[in-house]
Amino acid sequence: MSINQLIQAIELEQMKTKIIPKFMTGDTVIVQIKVLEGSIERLQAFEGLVIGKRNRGLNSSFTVRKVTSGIGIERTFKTYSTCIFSIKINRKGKVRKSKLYYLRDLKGKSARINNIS
Amino acid sequence: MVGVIGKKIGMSVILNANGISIPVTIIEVLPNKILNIKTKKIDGYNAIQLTNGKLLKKKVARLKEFRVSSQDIKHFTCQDKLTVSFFKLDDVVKVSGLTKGKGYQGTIKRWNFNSQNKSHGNSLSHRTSGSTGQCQTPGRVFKGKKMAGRMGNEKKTVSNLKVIKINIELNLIIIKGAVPGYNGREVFINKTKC
Repeated sequence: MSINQLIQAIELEQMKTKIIPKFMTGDTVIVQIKVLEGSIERLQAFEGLVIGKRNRGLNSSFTVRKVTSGIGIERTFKTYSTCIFSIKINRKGKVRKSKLYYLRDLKGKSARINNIS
Repeated sequence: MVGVIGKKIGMSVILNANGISIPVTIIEVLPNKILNIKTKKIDGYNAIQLTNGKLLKKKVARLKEFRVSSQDIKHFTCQDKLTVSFFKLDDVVKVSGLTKGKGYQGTIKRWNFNSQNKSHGNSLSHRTSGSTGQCQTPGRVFKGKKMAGRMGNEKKTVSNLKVIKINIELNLIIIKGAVPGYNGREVFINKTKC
């Protein structure tokens, strides 16, 4: 096996253990994150719009944006992180760009994204 | 301190159960054959001579000698093979090898000298080394003065690296942290405890 194939084999081994639903930029997702409080582990949900995906095998990540009381909050997750308990797709969005960074400058009605009908 | 000959495959990441990503280096260790055992009686010191798998007809592709203490030498026999299973999880190892060659480099990159002013009247000496010594006394530049020259491609050892994972089928050892050299270069993994 070549050098790159060996690295891929090691990374694939880790990626196989997780099942990730197929979501796209523009989708609204609920990400459940494992949070350790003292010794008790609980789940914390983060719901928002996927404004970007970075596809790099094991190093893949995605950014979720939500607006809470007028303040935009963005959180980037590693797709294959063991912290992520589940990813649930709430709504499929219709977008024309792969990165929705323009949403940061928009507010209210203009910041909406149409559903895929 | 016994070790094996390996090949640096490259770096990757391991995501552990706590959600922490550990930077790791993957090293391939093909079965190392013990070709010769040197003993204090005959050779004056205890050591084992290894080769990294590839044996040519009469010539040995790569030979490496590791010094072994007189107690540990009993564990090894000639023609034995040292494989990845020679290491265990959580073993602390030392990895040595030749660093990446950087070519002819100036004093700033090679010896961390400070660079001079970019402006304020500076003329053509932004990255020069400056003075190399005094005047008529001593009238020469001291030996060992840090100057520009060839950088890299020298032996470096990184110690206290932990074995995170072992893949027996693919002959791989996965070690936390970085290791000298470019991908595909030969490295020596030393066990700190036999």
